[in-house]
Amino acid sequence: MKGFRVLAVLLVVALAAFAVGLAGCGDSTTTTTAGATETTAGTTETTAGMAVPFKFGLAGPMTGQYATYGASHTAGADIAVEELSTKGGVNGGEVSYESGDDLGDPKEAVLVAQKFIDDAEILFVNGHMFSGATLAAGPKYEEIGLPMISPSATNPDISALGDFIWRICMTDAVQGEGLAKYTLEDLGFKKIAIMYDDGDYGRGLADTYEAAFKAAGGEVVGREQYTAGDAEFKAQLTKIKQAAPELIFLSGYYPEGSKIVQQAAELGITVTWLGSDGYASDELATLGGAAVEGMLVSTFFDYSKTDPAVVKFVDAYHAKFAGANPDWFAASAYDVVMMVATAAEMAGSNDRAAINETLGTMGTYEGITGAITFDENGDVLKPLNIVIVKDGALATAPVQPAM
Amino acid sequence: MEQLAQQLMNGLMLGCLYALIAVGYTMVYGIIELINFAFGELFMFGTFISIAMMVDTITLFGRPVPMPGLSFFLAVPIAMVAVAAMGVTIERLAYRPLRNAPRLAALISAIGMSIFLMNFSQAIFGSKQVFFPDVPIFTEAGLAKSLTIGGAQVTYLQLFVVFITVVAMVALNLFVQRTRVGRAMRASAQDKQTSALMGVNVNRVIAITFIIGSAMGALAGGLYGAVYHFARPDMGFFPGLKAFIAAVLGGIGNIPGAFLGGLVLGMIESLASAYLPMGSQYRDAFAFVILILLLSFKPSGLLGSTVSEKA
Repeated sequence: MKGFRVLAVLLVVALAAFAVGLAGCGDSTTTTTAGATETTAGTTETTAGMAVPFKFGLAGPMTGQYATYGASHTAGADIAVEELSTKGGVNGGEVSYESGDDLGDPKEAVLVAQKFIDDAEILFVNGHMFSGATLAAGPKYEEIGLPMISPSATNPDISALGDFIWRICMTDAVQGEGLAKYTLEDLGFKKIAIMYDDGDYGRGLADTYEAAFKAAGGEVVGREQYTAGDAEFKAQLTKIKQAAPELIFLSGYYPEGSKIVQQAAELGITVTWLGSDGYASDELATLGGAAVEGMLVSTFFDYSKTDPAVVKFVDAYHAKFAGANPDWFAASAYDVVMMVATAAEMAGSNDRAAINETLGTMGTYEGITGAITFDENGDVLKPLNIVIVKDGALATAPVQPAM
Repeated sequence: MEQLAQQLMNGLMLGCLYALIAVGYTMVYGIIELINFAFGELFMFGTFISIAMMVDTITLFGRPVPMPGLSFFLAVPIAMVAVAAMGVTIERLAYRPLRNAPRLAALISAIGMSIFLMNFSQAIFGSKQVFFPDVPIFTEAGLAKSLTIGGAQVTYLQLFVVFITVVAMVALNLFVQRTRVGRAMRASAQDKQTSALMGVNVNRVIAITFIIGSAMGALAGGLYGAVYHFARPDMGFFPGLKAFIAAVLGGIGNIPGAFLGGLVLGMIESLASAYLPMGSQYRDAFAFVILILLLSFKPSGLLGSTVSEKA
């Protein structure tokens, strides 16, 4: 009897933990805006059943330590879905998406890919966000012929994944070279140190930056790494301090980066900081406080621009999120949906293969993150934007890369 | 030389935080031989509750809620009390019913509790990092105030952390060695049944152990938050694991051992990442290698003797 009671308690605890875990991690929802349903029902009563819905998979880290990237990704996609729905859908089809949580983890990404592949209604995948996840999931999409457009995966190896794999951000190779040139020629620093996240993204970008910087005659006096989730960086920073660089290039993401800059300030390190695109978020300023003021950050979307398409998106975002500024992840998620919608309308059908073919032939698409033109690898060339942390927000930096 | 001083100082600070959490592990293990994996999560709640007490509004369940905006020096004690209450409740609900079950059952319950608490905090506070406000007397214009000791840059806050840790450790040791309740704890650690026969209320002793351990975890959480300026639902996992190593390193069940184990671990991590090739990459691995080596040659840990007493 006693053994039974123990077992019962154990089971209850295990089940409770499991249930909460599921609620937290496995979130998967189909979102359709009310506007979309009304439009289809009201205006195209007879064809509502006939039109192929414009449904896509939204893949990214929706929960876990990178959930804030997933939240931006979702927010950008939501705004695009609302905008398309008000226009009456795409090719008359109702606009919706299915969310898939990859936690930013390659193992989970493969499971999400399988889920999307099994859903015949899904026309394309908006994601995955991280390079590691994209490298793991990409081959599955390629095999089955489901177009995947990553808004933000920057690892150079992704170019070689195949015909159905696209991205609208520049590769780490291009960004690394651009930033090395910016450091040396536009900012005029010759002696730098690098600190990077040891994942695919951080390491890849650090490598290309270092190679380009050295090739151009600069001196790299320190190179240190850390692991995502770390909170203590003083050991590495103490070593870098000894080498006395003029600038420290950070290749990684802002949750760690904000702490690195803070701890450097505590150690009395006063240098110019340059962060990779993973730092381009208002959260950097929120979490970093006074220490990150004046930090330079590379970004693919500058929300302070006055281009009407940018203003329209930023206004929609402000209205939805109580005045918060969109980061480049939100802007890129929006661009992916709007660009594929344009491609589907050009192709005249909501079909995986037709969309994929049109993406390759449609020419330049003017997105809010810049002009998007694909090369034969499904990669894009875009200008670099540099922003600066100023009064707790990101503003256009005074020194921009010379093109 | 300057670098060595700096690295030792970095390690000392880190070690103090490990030591504070390790105390909980070691005390609870000493008495009921349970590794309470939930201490890492109680530490995390310590940070979150400290923040909640210090800010004017905080987002709970996605809704802004007005908060008192107290000083750091009031917020952390409040967090300690709240987390101590959580600790006893957990003991009552998840561990006491399993007191006489096989030890594995309680261990599984502890792991379940840890996962539950992590997800629970994510439901309450959200998955984003939350900023831990500056503590005014330790900062100037948003940056940490610091001074130079032997070439090492040390912040006032770091000195405060070391000071508080030493005070807490001395007080705790006096409590266990000199008071009646402390004696009851030591007696229960040696033999629960005989102590009960001698009139010691073992359940009460265990509850007090959880109160102290949880409060120390929350104290560590408050200090950690002030030093690293953030809280996040999964922040307790690694510090919890490291604190557990520190407790084993020092000799599990031994309070001065937990302090020593924490300091040694902090120093090893700091020096390994500074002076060994690829050090920062394998810093965590070094901690485990040292642990394995120590346990192969001295299984009871640096100061451990409780194992032989118990046999």
